Amino acid sequence: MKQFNKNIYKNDLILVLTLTFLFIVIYLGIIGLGNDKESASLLKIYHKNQLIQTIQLTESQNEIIELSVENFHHKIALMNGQVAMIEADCPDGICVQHKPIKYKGESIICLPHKLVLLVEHQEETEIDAVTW
Amino acid sequence: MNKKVAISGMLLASSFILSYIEQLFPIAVGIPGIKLGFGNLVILLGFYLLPWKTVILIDICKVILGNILFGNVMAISFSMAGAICSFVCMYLLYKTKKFSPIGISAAGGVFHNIGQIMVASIVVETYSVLYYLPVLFISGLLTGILLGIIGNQICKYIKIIDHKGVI
Repeated sequence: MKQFNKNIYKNDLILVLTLTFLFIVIYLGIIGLGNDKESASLLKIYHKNQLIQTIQLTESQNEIIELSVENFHHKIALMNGQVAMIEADCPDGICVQHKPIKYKGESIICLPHKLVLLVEHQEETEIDAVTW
Repeated sequence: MNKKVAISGMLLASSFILSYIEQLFPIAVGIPGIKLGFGNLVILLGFYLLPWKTVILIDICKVILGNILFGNVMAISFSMAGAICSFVCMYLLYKTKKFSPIGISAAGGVFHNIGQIMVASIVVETYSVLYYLPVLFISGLLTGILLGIIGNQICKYIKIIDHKGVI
């Protein structure tokens, strides 16, 4: 039967405290890194497959952009890193009903006006493998 | 020798049961990929029961077979990296004989996650995986402490076999 010496637990406490301290350092480091521009997303607006505008999406953003292409008027809202089409004068209005987009690869498309709002350069959305 | 084989087999089988049981605990954190890591209890006990070379073997088998049974085969490389990282850390701490199972397990849990994240960020070639590091770090620490407390209690009640296989 193995009995552990009482002092061993003190060493454990020191070890755990050291690791916690390390955690705090890493946490601050990662949060610090997270604030640079490379992690933000880019919204690209294409008309007839040609890039007409690029907008940087940031976390705290609240603007409405008016887009006028060839007599078509669209209003795009940028809120907190999300993009939504709030007004469009196309016949079906499907683009206005689209849920706000945020992640890489998501897009809002207005077919009649051949307008595409595409998000690029976003970070990974989820882990898709769990290891054992 | 026979005792070593028997105990190794039992530990390995226990690790599968533990992997299965840990799937039954829902973890209410929003981050996918957090798991309790009960299987590491087996490795921890292995240090006190078997020579380290045998424990490495059990660890490798546990990673490969455990992933085939309960996870996906693709995750084997990530898991292996984490397991090797945690094994080295735990063995070094064990050798100094200054830490109880609680500390060894806590450090092992943390380094397991660190190893996994490092490999993941290299393989997937992105730094964004590193955003999970703080969360996984703290969860590895907490689950390691939990497992260590369990392992500590177990160690008090089992007979420790010294490294030549003699009780």
